[in-house]
Amino acid sequence: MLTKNGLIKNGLTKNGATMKVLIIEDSRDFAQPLKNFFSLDGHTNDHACTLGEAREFMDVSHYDMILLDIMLPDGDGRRFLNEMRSRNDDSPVIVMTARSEVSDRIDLLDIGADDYIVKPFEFAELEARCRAVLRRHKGQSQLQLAFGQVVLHPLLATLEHGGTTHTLRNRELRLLEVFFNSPEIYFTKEQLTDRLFSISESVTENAIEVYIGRLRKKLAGSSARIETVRGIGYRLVST
Amino acid sequence: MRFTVIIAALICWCAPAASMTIELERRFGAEQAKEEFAILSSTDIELFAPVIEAFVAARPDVAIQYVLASSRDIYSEIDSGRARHDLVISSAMDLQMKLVNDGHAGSFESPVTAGLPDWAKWRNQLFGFAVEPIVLVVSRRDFAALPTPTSRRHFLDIIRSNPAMFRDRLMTYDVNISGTGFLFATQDARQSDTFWRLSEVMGSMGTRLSCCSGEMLARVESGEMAAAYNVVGSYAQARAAKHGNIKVVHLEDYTNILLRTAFIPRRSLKSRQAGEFLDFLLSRRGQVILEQQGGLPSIFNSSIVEITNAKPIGLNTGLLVYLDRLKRENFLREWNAALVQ
Amino acid sequence: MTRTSPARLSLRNRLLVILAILVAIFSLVLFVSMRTLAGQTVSAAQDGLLKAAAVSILEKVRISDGALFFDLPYDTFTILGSIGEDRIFYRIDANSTFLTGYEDLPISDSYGDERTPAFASIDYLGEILRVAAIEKPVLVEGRSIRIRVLIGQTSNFQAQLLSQLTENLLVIVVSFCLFAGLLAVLTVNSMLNPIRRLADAVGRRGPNDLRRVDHPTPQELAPLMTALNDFIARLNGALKQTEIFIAEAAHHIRTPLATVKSEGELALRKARKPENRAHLRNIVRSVEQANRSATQLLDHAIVLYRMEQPERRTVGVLQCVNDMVSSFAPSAELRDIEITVDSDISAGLELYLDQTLLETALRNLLDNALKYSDAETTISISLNASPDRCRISVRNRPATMIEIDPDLMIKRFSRGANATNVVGSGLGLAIVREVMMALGGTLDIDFEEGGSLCASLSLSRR
Repeated sequence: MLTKNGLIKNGLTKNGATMKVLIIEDSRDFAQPLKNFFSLDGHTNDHACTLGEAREFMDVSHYDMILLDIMLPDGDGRRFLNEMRSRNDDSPVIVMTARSEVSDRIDLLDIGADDYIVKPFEFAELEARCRAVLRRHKGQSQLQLAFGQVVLHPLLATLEHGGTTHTLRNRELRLLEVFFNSPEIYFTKEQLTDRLFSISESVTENAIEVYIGRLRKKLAGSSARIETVRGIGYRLVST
Repeated sequence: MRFTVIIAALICWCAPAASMTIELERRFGAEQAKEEFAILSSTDIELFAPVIEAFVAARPDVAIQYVLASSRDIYSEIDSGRARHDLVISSAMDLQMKLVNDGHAGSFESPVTAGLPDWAKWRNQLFGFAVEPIVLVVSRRDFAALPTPTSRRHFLDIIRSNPAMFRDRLMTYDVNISGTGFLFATQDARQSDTFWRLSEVMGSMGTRLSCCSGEMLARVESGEMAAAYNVVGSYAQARAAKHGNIKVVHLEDYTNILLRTAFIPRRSLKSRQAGEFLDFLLSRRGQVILEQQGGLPSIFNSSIVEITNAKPIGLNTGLLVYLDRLKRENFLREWNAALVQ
Repeated sequence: MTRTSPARLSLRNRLLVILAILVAIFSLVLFVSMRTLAGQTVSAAQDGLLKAAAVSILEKVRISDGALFFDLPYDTFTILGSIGEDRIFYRIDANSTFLTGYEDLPISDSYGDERTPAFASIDYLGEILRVAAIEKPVLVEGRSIRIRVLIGQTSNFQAQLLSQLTENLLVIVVSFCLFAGLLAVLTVNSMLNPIRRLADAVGRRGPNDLRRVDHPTPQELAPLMTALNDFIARLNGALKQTEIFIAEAAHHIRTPLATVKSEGELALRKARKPENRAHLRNIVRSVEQANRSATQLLDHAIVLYRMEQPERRTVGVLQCVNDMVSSFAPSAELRDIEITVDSDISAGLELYLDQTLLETALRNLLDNALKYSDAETTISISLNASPDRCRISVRNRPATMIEIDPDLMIKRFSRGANATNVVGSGLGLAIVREVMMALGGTLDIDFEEGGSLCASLSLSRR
């Protein structure tokens, strides 16, 4: 089923459960698009403009992902991170920084960040990093999506059915996530293209077809298949 | 200064000129030769002819008038300023030197003259072209029994020892009239005192005086004279070769070597042609002809200098000294006192 | 250029000209004075000769029986005329009576004595004669008679001697001139050497070396050096200002760019109509391009800064590479591009350099490789070490198999032939090369068999 405004959910949901994301960033202009990004996929997100606000938020809730800006009006993000780790709060933190020196990265990782991303960044990169962080953080086998007898392990990037395990490439995985998150929902070629390819990539007409083809191969013999309906799109159905 | 010169010239010209006695005159060269110049010389024509002939043979456009005169006359002629000759040749080195010193000679330079040894030219105006030893000539017959004189002292002794043989039978230049003779005597006087002693001895013997070597040689050859002192060597050799009685003696104490000289008068109008002849005369070829055919020893003849105690008469201003009026008078007085007794 | 600099004046030429003039003047003065001296000496010599001749003539005066006798000395006359083949003229008078000699030789106005004769230069027969005049009183029959001797000669002797002396003098003076000239040239050169060495030292500097000039220079150049250093400092300051300005501007651009981009992406997700989608795509692509340029401008500013003030420390090369790869891994993974690292050196290989610069180079190389590679390809990085060099090579298969000119790739702002659809500003490799220049290493780009492109950084280990 399509969601109310026809948007596609991304693959970060775990079987319908939403993530709670805390964005600690003093620039509203910068934070707003981030919030939109996460909302699109149905995550709840909070936005703190200062460290003080952040602490308040964190006193009340536990967050599944924290995006932390380095420079905040009331303090250095690094010190905040330090505080967190000192009280054994091991929530995943991705630091957002304007500088692009890897040495900073090491410092940040030493302090306890899980990763960092350089502003301005692409959503796709943020997604990739979140995915990676979660993969490392959550352990490897906890997350899975299922449709019928077919099991998709997003963090392991594997497809299991009938006892066989297929490894999935990144795009294959992301494509399957889309279908597994919203089974039997039609997705247009454009929608899928937007999901899979960044805007700067040149995409041919049948690029999606190629990937659909590969997935069909990997789903062959299982209880699921991908159906193409001309003029409408693609959807995951049971065989 | 030029004013004075002009006056002097006029005076010389107007003065009763003692005109020169021309002994001989001959023209060499082709009839139609356009360029003719004159040589005034004290050297016998026969001796000079071969060189002149050789020159005009090579230069048919040139003719030469050869004028023979005594060295004293030559001196007077040139000193008077009359410009009639284009090459002046004389064996009287001192007279030539005086003429050149007094400014009568023109300068002449050529590659040939540049090649002459320093002692054979003066100021590039006066050039020596032949050398002459001055010798003693004796009659063989008279000296058959006598030793050959080795020095003037020796000669002197021989004379004194044989007065009968030598009375009135000695001859030498009359230095009063012969410029050449005067030169020989004065150069002798420079060399040593022996000359004066010899002169006195000769004078006491009644020595006969002559004007020239030619005459002296004839007399010795004929036997009229037993010996002639201070004779021009080349003439003597020439005669000795032809006639058996003449014996040439180079006295060992010293032998004066004369230099025959030539110059081109400053006022000559044919100086270029004269210069060409002079070049020929001084060239190797000319010198060879002069010596071999003319009998006048070349300046390049090294055997002359090898004569024992050869004393070349220096071609320099010292030659002027004995021409000084007072010095000359003095010398002549003494010489005459010695020889004309 | 300005119009203020006058026609090229050369210090060297100026000095040389001045020295040449001095030498010439000095030589001239030397020559003239020495020649005058020589002339005087020769004159004195001739006069001495004439005096001796006159004296010797006078000596030979005899009085006998009331008569005067003169014995002119042959040798005196010989010697007098011999040296220069000069013509000799003389006259001897007793009181005012001419005795002998050249009567038309003019009598002297004054006669000296044996010790100091009277000398004069007179004109006679068209020639200049130098004459000496001496008189001596003698007693003849009780009467005192003044014997006057005047003797002179032409100046051939003088002229000859003088010309020979002049010749020699000329040789000496010319030699002196040449020697002095040579010395002058050497001196001038050696004087100007410090300037040339300074010019060389400054000339040898690298294109970005704006340090103070501390070359040892002579005192006289100190004001110039001070002015130069001040100028350099000002230039440096101005440059820094510009760099800071650029960096700041680039930095400030990025945030609004990021905003535009994210809004654009969001809009694209919502857009359904094809033409809207196309427009939005264009917007986002343009923004990405702008962002790339801004990033690279910033990189460039950083490189310039670090070239001047490097922060050197010991850097573990393998670690550095691995970290860089980790930070690119997530983006690479999006397109299923694998980055491998293979090294023949131990993890312990360390270089002493500015780490930021190295990272900048690596980052740009990887970014470039990523940009120009197709999905599902591999980028392989290899590290090799030799005793004096360390080599980091990044290999990838360019998206289009067109032959790429490595030099064109490096020139600022030009792009390889396969850049048609892939966004980029062309600065990337230029920055890598700048970094390598700053690190004293090299960047090489080669095509290998099989069609892969290999970009290598080569660094010295010493």
